[in-house]
Amino acid sequence: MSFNLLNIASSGVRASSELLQTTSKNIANVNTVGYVRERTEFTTMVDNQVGRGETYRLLNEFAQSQLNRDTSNKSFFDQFITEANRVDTIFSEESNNLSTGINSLFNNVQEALNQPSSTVARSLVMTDAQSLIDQMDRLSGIVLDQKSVVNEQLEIFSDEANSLIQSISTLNQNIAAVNGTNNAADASSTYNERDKAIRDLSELIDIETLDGPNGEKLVFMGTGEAVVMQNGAFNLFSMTGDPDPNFKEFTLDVNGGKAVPLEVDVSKLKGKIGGLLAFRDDILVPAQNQIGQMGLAIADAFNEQNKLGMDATGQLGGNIFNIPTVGAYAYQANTGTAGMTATVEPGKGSELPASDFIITYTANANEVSIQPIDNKGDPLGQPSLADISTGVIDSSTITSGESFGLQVNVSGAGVEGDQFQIKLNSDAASSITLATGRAEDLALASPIRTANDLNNIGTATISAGEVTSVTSGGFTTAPGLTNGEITLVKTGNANEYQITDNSGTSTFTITPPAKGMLSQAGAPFDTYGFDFDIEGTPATGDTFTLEFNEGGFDDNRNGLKLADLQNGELVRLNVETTATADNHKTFNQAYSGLVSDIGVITGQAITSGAAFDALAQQSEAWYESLSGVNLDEEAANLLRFQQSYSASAQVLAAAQEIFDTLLNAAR
Amino acid sequence: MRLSNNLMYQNNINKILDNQQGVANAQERVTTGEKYLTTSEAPAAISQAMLYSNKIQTNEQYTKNINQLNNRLNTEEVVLSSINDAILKAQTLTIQAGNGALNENDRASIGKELEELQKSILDLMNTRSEDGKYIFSGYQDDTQPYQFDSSSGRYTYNGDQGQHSTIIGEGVSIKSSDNGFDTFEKVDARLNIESNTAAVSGFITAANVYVDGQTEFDKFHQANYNADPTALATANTYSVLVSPGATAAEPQTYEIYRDGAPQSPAITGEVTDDTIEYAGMTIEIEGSAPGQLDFTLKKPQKENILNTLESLVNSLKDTSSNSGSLQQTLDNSIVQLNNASEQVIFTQASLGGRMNAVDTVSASNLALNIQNKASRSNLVEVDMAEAISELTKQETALQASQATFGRLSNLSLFDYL
Repeated sequence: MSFNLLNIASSGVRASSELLQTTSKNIANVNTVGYVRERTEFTTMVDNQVGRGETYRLLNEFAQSQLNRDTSNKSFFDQFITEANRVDTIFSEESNNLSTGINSLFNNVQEALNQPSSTVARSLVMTDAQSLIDQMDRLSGIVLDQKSVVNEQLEIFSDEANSLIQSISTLNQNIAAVNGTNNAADASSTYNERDKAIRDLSELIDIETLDGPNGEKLVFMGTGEAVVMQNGAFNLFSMTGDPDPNFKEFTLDVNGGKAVPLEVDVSKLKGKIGGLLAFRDDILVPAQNQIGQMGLAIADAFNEQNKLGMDATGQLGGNIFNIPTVGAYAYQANTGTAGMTATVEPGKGSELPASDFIITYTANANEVSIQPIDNKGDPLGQPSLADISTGVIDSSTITSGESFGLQVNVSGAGVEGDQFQIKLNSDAASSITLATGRAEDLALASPIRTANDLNNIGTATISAGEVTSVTSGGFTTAPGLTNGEITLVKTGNANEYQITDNSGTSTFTITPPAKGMLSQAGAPFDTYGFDFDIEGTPATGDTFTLEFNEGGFDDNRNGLKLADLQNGELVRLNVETTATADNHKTFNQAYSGLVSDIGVITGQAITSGAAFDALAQQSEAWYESLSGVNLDEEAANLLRFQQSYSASAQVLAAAQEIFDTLLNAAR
Repeated sequence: MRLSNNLMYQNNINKILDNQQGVANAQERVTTGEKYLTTSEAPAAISQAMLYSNKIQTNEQYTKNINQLNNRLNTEEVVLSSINDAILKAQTLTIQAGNGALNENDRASIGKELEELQKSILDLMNTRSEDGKYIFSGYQDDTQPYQFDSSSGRYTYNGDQGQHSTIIGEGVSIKSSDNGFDTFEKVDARLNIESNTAAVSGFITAANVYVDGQTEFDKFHQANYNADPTALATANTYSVLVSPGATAAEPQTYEIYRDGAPQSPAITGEVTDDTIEYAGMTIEIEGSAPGQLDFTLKKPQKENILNTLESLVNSLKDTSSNSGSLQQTLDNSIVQLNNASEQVIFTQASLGGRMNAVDTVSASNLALNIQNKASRSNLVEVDMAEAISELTKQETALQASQATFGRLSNLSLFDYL
C-alpha cells in the first residue's frame, strides 16, 4: 500500500512541478512577442497515478487567421494614410499653391497692359513666368521625390518579405522533422516563431494559410499565388521596371527564379506593400500627370496667343515657353529598332489629357495605335490609329480617333507588337523652361490696325480687327502685310463693297450683317488670317483701311487676350468625351480639382482606415482572450500549484512515515 | 471576455496616444487660425475656399488697374478742359475781329493773340503722360500727334485711330484713351459753295454768290447734296437762268435749274435790286438778261482747329486781303471753332461717362471683395472661441487618461501574495 502511495505521491509531485513549470514559463514570457499561452493537462492512469501530462498551446486557429487578415487590411491603410497625409499636407500649404503663382503671373500681365510701352511692367511678367515654372518644378519635384521614396521602401519591404518567407520555410521544415516524435511538446517555441513570422508577413502582404502535412503551414497570397509550399519550397518577390525603369512592378519569381516572373495584380494587394503601391498609383501618378498637363496647357496657350501679336520691337511674337520633348520608353519585349520622342503639338495643348499613352505597332505597315491608359495601366477609351509614313504622328496624320494633342517623332523601324510608353505629362512638368527672358518679347500689341477715312459721311466705323493666324500667308517676315494696306470702299449698290490691295481690286456683295468682311470677300483675302467688321451704316463712297500696326506700342489688344487666358477653359478633363460635353476647365479650377482629389482620396482612406483599425482591435482582443497571458491568473495558478505540490510532497512524507512505521514494526 | 496583460496595456497606451494627437491638432488649429489642417478633412470646403482666394487675388489687380485708369482719364480731362478754354477765348477774339471799326494794325494784333492761342492748343494736343508717351496719338505713343507740314502749310495728324482699353472687372473693360482723330480731326468744316464767283454766260457779265443765312444753307445742303462717288461731276451744280421781264419796267425773272434740268417743283422768282435770295444764299448779278450763272455745292469736309486758326491768323495778318475774303474766313472760323468746341465737349462727355462707369464698377468690386473674403473665412477660418474650448477639452481628456493609467496599472495580484 505504501508502495502504491509512494508512486501516487511521486507522480503527484512530478505533475505539480510540471504545472509549476508551465505557469512560470507563462509568467516569464508575458512580454515575449508572439508567445502563446500554454497549459498542461493530465490524465489519470489505471492505477490511480497521475498520467502523462500534455502541454499544449492555447490557440484558436480561426482567431489567428482572422487576426492575420485584419492585420493586412489595417497595415494597408496605415501605410497608405501615412504616405498620403504627407502629400496632402504638402499640397495644402499656401506656399505651394500653384494658383497663387498663376494668378500672380496674370496680374502682372494686366499691369503690363496698363502701360504696354513700359519695360518695367513687361519684365515683371517675365520674372513671374520664371517663378511660375520654378514653382511647378518644385511641386513636381516633391512628387518625384515621393516616387523614389516609394521605390526604396518597396525594395526594403520586398526584401523583408523575402527573408520572412525563407524563415517560414525553414521553420516549417524544423516542425516537420520534430512532429510525431516525443519531443513534439518542446517544439512549441518553433511553432510560436513560425506563427509570428506568418503574422509579420501578413503585415506586408495579405496571405492565406493552409495546413500541410506534418504540421507545416503552407502560405498563399490573398490572390492565390503560392509563396511557401511543402518540403521547404518557396517563391520570392522581386521588383522590375518595364518599360520605365523607375516605375517598379511587383513580381513573383517562381521555381527558384528559373521561370518568367509572375506579375502580381497590385490592385488587389493588401498589407504595407499594397498600401504603398496603391498610394503610388492613386495619388502620386495622377498628381504628377495633372501638374504636367496644367503646365503644358498653360505654356502652349500662352505661346500660341503670343505668336498672334506684335512685340515691343515691332516684330511678330514668338514662343515664351519652351515645351520640352520627352523620350518614349520601349518595352523590353520589343524586337524592332524603332525609337520615339513626344511633345505637344503647338496649338493643341488643350486637347492633352492627364494620362500616359501606349503606342503599339499594328499589323499594317506604317500604322500604329495610340491608347491612353489610366493610372493603373489599364486602357482608357478607344485607341486612335495613325499613319507614320512621314515619321511624325500629329493631328494631320491621325487616320481614326483623335491625336490627344500629341506630336510624336518616330525613327527606325518597328515590328508588329512593339510597344512604347509615353509619359509626356509626368516627364514634362519639371522640364518646361522660358524660351526668352527679354521683356520686349511679350507681344501685347495686335499686328494690324484699322482706320476710318476722315471724309466718311455715313455712320459706319470699322472694327479694330481680329487676328486668327499669322502663318496662313497674310504676314511677311519683314514684318508687314503680304499684300500691303487693304482699302475697302462702299459702292452705290446695296451690300456691295470694293476691296483693294497689292493683289488687285475686286468687288463683292455681302450677306448682312457686315461681319468678317475679308472672309466674305473671297480669295485671296480670306486666307490672310485676320478679319474685321463694319459696324453701322456706311454711305456710298465711305472708305476704310487696314494696315500693319507699325509703331503701335500703346496697343494692348493681344495682351488683353493673353490676360483672358486666366479664365480660358484650357485644361482637358476626361479622355472619353462626346462632342457636346463640357470637357475643359480653367487652370485654377484644374489645380483646385487636383488638391481636392488628393484630399478626398486621403479622407476616404482615413475613414476606411479607422474602420479597419476597429476591426483589427476586435480580432486582437479575441485572439488575446485565449492566447494571451494574464498575470493575475498565473499568480493564482502559482499559488494553487504550490499548494498541490506541498500536498503531494506531504503525501510523500506520509508514505515515507508509513514505510518507516512498517519497518520499525517488523524489527 | 478574458483580458490578457498585453491587451490591457496596449489599449491604455493607445488611448493616451490618441489623446496626445488630439491635443496637438487642437493646438495647431488655435495657433494657425485654420479650421482644417489638411485638405482631407474637408476637401469640398478647401477647394471652394481656393476658388475664393483666386477671386480675391484677381480683385487686387483690378483695384490697381482702376487707379491707373483714373489717372489716365483725369489727365485727359484736364487737358481737354484747357483746350476748350482756349477755344472759347479764340471765339471771342474772332467775333471781335469782325468789327468793321478796326483798322489793319488792330486786326494784326488780334491775329498775334490768336497765334499764341494756336500754339498753346498745339502744345496741349501734343501732351505727354508721366512716362513720356503722347496721349492723343492712338497706338503710336512715340509719334507726336500734330506736326506742322511746312510744304503744305497745314497741321497734320500723324497718329492712328487706336484706343487703349483697361480691364477693371471681370468681363469689364473701359477705353482709357482718346485719339486725335476722333477728338480733333473729325470737326466739320463750314458747308459752303465751291466758289464765290459764279460762272456766267449770256448777257450776265459777273455774279457773286455768298452764303448769308448759314442755318438755312446748312439745311439745304444736307438735304440736297449728292454724295455718290459714281455720280456725275455736275450733279451738284445749280444754274440760275435769268430772263428779262415782259416789259422793260417789269423785273427780271429767274429760274433755278439743277444739273441742267429744272427742279420739281420749279424754283422761280423775280430779281429785285440785282439780287436773288435762295436757300440762305445771296446772289448778286451784274449785267442784263437773258443770261445764266452756275454755282456748285462744295463737298462736306473736315477741318481741325489748328488749320482753322492758321487760315484765320494768316488772313488777319495779311494787310492786302480784301474785306470779302476776310469775311469768308471769319465766317469759316466762327462755324469751325464752334464745331471744334462741340467735338471736344462731346469727348469730355464720353470721358465723364467712362469715369462714372469706373466708379460704379469700383464700388461693386469692393462689395464683391468683402463678400468673397467673408465667404472664404466662413469656410476655412476657425472660430477662436470654439477652437480654444476644443483645446481645453482635449487637454482634459489627456489628463484623465494619464491619471487612470497610473492608477490602474498598479493593480496586480502579486502585490497581495
